Amino acid sequence: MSYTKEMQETVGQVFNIQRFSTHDGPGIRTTVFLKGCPLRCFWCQNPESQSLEPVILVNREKCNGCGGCIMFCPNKANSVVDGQLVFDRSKCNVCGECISICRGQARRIEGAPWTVEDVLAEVDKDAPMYFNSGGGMTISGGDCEMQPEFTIALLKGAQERGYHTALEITGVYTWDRVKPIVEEADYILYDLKQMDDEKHKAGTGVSNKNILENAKNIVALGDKFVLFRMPLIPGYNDSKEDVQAVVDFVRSLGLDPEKHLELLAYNTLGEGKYDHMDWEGERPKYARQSQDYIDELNAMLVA
Amino acid sequence: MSDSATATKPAPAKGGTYAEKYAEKSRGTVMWDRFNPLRYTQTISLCRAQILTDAYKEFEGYHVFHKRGLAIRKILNEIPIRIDDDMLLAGDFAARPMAPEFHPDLAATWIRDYAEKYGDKGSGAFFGFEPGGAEQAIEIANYWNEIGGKEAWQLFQGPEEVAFEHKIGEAGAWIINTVSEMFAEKAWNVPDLSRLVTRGVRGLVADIDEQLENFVMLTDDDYRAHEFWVGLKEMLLGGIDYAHRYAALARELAEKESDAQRKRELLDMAAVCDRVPEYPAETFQEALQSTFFGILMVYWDTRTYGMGYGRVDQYMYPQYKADIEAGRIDDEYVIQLLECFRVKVMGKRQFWPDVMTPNLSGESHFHNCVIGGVDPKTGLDATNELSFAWLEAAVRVKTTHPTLSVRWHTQINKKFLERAIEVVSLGRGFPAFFNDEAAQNYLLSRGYTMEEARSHAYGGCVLHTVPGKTSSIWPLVMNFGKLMELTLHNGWNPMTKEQLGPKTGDFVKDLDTFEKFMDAYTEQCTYWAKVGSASGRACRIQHLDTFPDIMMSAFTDDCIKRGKVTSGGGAIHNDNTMYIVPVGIQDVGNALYTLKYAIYNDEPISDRETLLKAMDTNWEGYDDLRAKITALPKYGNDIAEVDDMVNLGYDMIKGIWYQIPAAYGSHYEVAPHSIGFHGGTGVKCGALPNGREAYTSMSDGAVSPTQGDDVSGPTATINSAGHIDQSELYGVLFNMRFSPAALKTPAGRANLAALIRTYFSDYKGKHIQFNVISREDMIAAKKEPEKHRDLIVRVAGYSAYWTDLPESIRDELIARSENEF
Repeated sequence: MSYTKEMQETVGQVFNIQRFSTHDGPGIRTTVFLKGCPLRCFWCQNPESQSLEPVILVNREKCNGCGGCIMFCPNKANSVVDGQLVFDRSKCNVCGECISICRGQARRIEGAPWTVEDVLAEVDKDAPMYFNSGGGMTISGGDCEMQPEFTIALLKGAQERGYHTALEITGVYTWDRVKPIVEEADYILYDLKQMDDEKHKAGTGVSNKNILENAKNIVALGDKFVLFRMPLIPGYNDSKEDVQAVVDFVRSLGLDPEKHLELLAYNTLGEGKYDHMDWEGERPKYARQSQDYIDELNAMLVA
Repeated sequence: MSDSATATKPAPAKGGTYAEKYAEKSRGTVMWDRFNPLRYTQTISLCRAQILTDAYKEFEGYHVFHKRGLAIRKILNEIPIRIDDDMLLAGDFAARPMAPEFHPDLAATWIRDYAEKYGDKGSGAFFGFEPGGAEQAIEIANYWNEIGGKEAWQLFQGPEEVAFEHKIGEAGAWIINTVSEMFAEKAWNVPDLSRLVTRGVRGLVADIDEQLENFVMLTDDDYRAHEFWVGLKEMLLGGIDYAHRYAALARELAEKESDAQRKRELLDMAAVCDRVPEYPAETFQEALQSTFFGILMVYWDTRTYGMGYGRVDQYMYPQYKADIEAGRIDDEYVIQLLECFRVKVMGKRQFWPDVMTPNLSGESHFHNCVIGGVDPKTGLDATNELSFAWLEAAVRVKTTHPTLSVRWHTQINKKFLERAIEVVSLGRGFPAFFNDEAAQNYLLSRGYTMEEARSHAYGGCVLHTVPGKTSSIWPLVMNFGKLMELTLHNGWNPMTKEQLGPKTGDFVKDLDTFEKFMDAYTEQCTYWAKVGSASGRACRIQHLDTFPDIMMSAFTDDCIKRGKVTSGGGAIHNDNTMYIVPVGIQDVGNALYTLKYAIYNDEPISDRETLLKAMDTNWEGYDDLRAKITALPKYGNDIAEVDDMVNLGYDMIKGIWYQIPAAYGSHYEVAPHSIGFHGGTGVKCGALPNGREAYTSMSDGAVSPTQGDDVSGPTATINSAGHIDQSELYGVLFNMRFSPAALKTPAGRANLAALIRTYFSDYKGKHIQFNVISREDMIAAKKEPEKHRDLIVRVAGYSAYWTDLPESIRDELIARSENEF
């Protein structure tokens, strides 16, 4: 199947296009973050990506009190109560009027419809860097499985241009949905969060059955470089037993964990976004593991 | 040259003891730890000034060339000398360690004001004198009252012209710097020091003698040629005298030395100084010593600001190789010698009037040491063991100078490039990287042969220069942001409230299209180009009578053959010797974007009258308008329409300046590299249509985005810089900032290598250097995040903008980064 005109015009929900992305596949890359995720990991780093719908983030540290959002919101969703800016999200229809008027550039909207060609025009900007570094385009999320046609079209378009393609995918759906997507990518980034299914359900809201099955299937395709990644969440999956189970699984697929498994120490980057979204539910707050402990875990990858 | 063949070659012990003694603390570090504190306490030395003054009195009747020959030789014979503990190289930039020497022959009377005002103690912020020094300085200045370089130039100009230049210069409107150039001596070129290494003083004197033997005096030019040869010969012979004084001192110290190893080092130094610079160097130590003596001989004559030291891994390589093959030396000793060289160069201090201080970057003297590049004959990679050794020495002894510059080309030795980027990751700001192809194309277009183009080095910060082919350089610095301010005000300077430039049209009433505005701006710039260039040319020629670069001429083709001083028509190439350093073009580009797309468009964000008022009040009461302007696209974010406006600015400047003749042929060149001038010029410049606040720094470098404007990441910034057509620009400076963590891993450094390759190979950029963010920078960014909008930090698996991070992460990063070095 070639890269058709129809594919070029396919529209998807994108929340970020990150240039000079250097840790999601080899070399210098541009990572396209897609909206929508079927998982609800309690430690989620990109909570703004979970819904397919656009969401407004407000960084109150940047607010300079200009009052633009109060004046210009057609639904009067913003007001000042006791000297504090209050943003009533129930009144907000995410029209975006408050974004450009914000003097402190404290507001941003995450998620917008993009055509494949518009995304790729953005990706094209760093083409020389990909060729000089062995980099290319990465699709991340969210989870691309929520937007399979769009993802396939993006990958086709990137191939057409000669770019190396990497794909981050959760593999939570069945193989018939996952297969046509992963087939189009050169390099697969694949999370293994927890081998114990009960714990997996408790931590992410979904079973790991499909995830493990698809992992096997992807490796069996034989022509992809697969990098498994394990985000280490304090108290949830960062014990030596948890890590050992994942290491064993990777070995059982015939892959060397030293080359095909990356342990990611917990980082707190996502925590601020929960504030910016006025998140009401549970939110993660942990300390990063000590480097010594991470080193010990990494030693387990070596045969 | 029979003497040289029979002389004893010094043969330092191979390895062993040298490495052991300095295992914990490198030789250079041991010395630098002693000298570094003196930078804050040392007093000014008047030794050179006094000897020179005495000599001028003694030889008053001689022609200036001959007189200076005798005077500089007298300095080389009488300036107090010393050999510091642990030091392996002879020669110094001052009579006392870390002291500045005073050059009254360049500019004298300012020191009288300084000494009268502050006395021996000095200003506190700047150097003091030894007891009685202030009085001595005043006496010296009195002698030079009318014959110092600056003083004589001002007599030539006459009081009206002097007053005018004062008004438009640093102390006034800061449109063009005609004043500071009077304090910054001329160099910025690259003398061919290798000829001292390969031929020795005797070889160069033989060239002069040949001219003198066949000399017939028929014209006044012949007379000047004669005096030039005689003067230069005195200076060259003075170099031998100077070396022999060190030889004697080294022997004297060796006799008293109880430590056997140090005794041997001193005797080796004595043997080296017996032979060089008089004869061709045969060992590496001799080659380095001869090079250093060559630098000093020029220094004691004309101070050498911005003088490149050339391809230091190339022209000393034959001696290095011979040493290694003969087993006379090992790499450890070579690195220690280079450490000594670095410490020596730090001994060169600056002593200038207050008017200079806001404009210059710390204490840099811009002595570029070039490593890497290609072989001039074959065009193949020329990296060698010395290229690595220079890097290693710079890693060991943490001095800021001399700066190292890597000549990058497509077949650069991969290990060398990797090591160079590792050194960058240490956060020292060097080496800088330069693109061979871009420099060579430029030089070929200026009439150099391929072999000459391939042998280029760097003068000043970023000036691609063929060693030994050009004279010292006469730059002019001009703030094009200021010229835009004048254009917006019809030639009126709001700061001093006077009409300075021509009336090029009333912004509100007359300039009703973008084209009309550009015409007015061009006219304003053309007027000031004429003013500045006339002054620059006249100053260059007039200076030949007071501050001729005689010693530099020994290292420049074809001065000896032509019988002319290098700046006076002696140099074989006079292209690139007069140029404009345009400051603020990125501001100008952004401002032009505002005007074209938001003022002179169908739906303007403001009328011109309101915009002008807003700028005149420095945006006070016009927050909304300024916010709208701030939100417009800015240069540095890979947006073609605004990047084109920066190109438009450079095109206009090239269009004007290429029409302006420079002295001794060629035309003025355009060399954008703001040095430190973006700070000083900015202080005198009002608000601009790019939303810039009045009296703040102009943007730095040539193609670096205005500070804080680049918010789209490093690849976007590189794309923007690559969008600027640099082919016809002479030296184009580009600064980038990186976090240390980004360069911590081999993969991170490989990505940096890919960025360099893209900028050079795909975009034909000329220069790039990296600022690796330190912990201190992050603390500053924490205090004032709004000023660090472009700061990118590596958080975990990815990068993030500082301003997007919550307080807790900022703290974490600050704590974490400490472990990263």
